[in-house]
Amino acid sequence: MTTVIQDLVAGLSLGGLYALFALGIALIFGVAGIMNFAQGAMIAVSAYVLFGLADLPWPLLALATVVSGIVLAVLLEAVVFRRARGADQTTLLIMSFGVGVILQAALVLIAGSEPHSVTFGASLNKELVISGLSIPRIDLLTLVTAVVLMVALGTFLRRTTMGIQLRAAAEDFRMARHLGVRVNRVMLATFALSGLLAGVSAVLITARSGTLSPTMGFEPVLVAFVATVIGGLGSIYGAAAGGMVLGLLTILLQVVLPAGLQPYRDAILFSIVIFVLLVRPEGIIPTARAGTRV
Amino acid sequence: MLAVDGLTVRYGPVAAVRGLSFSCEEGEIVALIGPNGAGKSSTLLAVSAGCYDGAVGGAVSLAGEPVLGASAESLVRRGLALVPEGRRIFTGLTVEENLLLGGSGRRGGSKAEAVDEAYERFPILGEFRGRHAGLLSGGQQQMLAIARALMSRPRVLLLDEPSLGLGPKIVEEVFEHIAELRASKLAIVLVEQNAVRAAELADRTLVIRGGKLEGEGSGVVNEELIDAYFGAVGGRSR
Repeated sequence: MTTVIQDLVAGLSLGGLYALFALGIALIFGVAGIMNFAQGAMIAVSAYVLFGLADLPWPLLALATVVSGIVLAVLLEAVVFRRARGADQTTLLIMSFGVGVILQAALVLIAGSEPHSVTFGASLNKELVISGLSIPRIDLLTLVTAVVLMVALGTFLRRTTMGIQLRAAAEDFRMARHLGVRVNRVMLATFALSGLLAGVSAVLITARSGTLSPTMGFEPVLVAFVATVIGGLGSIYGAAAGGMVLGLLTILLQVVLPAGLQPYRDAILFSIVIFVLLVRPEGIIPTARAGTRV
Repeated sequence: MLAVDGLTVRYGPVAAVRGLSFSCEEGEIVALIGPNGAGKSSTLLAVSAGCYDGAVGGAVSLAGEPVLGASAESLVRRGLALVPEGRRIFTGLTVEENLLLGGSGRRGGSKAEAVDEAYERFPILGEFRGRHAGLLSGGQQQMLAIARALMSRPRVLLLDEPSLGLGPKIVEEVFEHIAELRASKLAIVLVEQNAVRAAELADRTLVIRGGKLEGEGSGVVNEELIDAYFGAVGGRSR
């Protein structure tokens, strides 16, 4: 029983982290129609900000990392993606790839291509023992952070004017414009939220692994892409659900697979994903309407 | 209030609207009728900055100010509201959220009061205020689309095919609501396939065919309008 609870916490924690990755991708795809593959590079840039400011006390360091994610995302919207508004999705996809490559190359130029280790969050990797349960603190922190952020994001989307406008824009961007929704504000808010998620992801990934490299964003963006597809492409709530399912499945397979099959865990995981998509191609929580953007 | 002068809309080599001119004054309902592909909806889209795939030319003015080329969101703030073909309500949002969204470009006044006014005008929406708009019937969705457009306190209301896909009883109800709007001194441009009903409702009826104005009348569909509609040359044969 103890092991089951420990595994469940590990699964929920990983699922929460994946949900944060996926939400960053889903928000921008839902509203702007951009499958933002630069999200991974945004995570990496934020992590390098953390690395560069490592002397700061940890709360300030975490805050600076998150703020850097927001600033970078807002700059990308204002300087790069705004100019391509109205372009077809293929162009936007290639653009986001390009932006990701440029950011990654900039990191290599500034900090080198070798991985770096960071001491940030070292104490979080110790285990917390509660009534016989041994749970890594970072798992609890990840889980709590993901839950708090998802609840906050859900509240923002449901209770605020900007949140309602953002959901409407994700459903039918052009109609939202015809109702007077200010497109630039909604785009900036969307990218800012996505940047916030990238910043938080950077803090959590770095604290979990203790290392960082210019390519560290590749896996999160891959996971996020898969999670958003499972959840229902463009669906914000679906992305969170998709991330959670993917995380839980990963840990479940880790637990149930015999040692000989462990190397094939990801292959089995993605086979399940393919099966899910064959049965339910629109995803777990499909969007009400996938409208044309801008 | 709304003046359209020499409007042209081209989709690549295809000219959908060819030098169309008309006006709509405060408290007036102008119906645009014509066969499929006549350019009616293209006209409304061009006027409301919604013609994303076409090249638009000519001149459009709203209360004397030229507005062609202005963004869709700025047009709302200048007093133009669109009820598009197919309603395009936000099905994932509640009825009330749809209405609040309609107030995004509101020209003064309280949004909360406007929501109450919408429920007064369309009581059924008040009953379903917390329900997802996608769960409403077609007629209720159409009423929501109209109420949502009114939330911005427009001076000009563009209605594109409000009867599309609705049963006869519901169509009557929708048309009654449109007739009631005349009292609020709105300038209303109505594009409608149900030509007879639209002509009965409108103060002026314009027949568009091949992107051009082919005839004009008021009150009823007379022979002249029918000829214009079907493109008869030198009158209908009897």
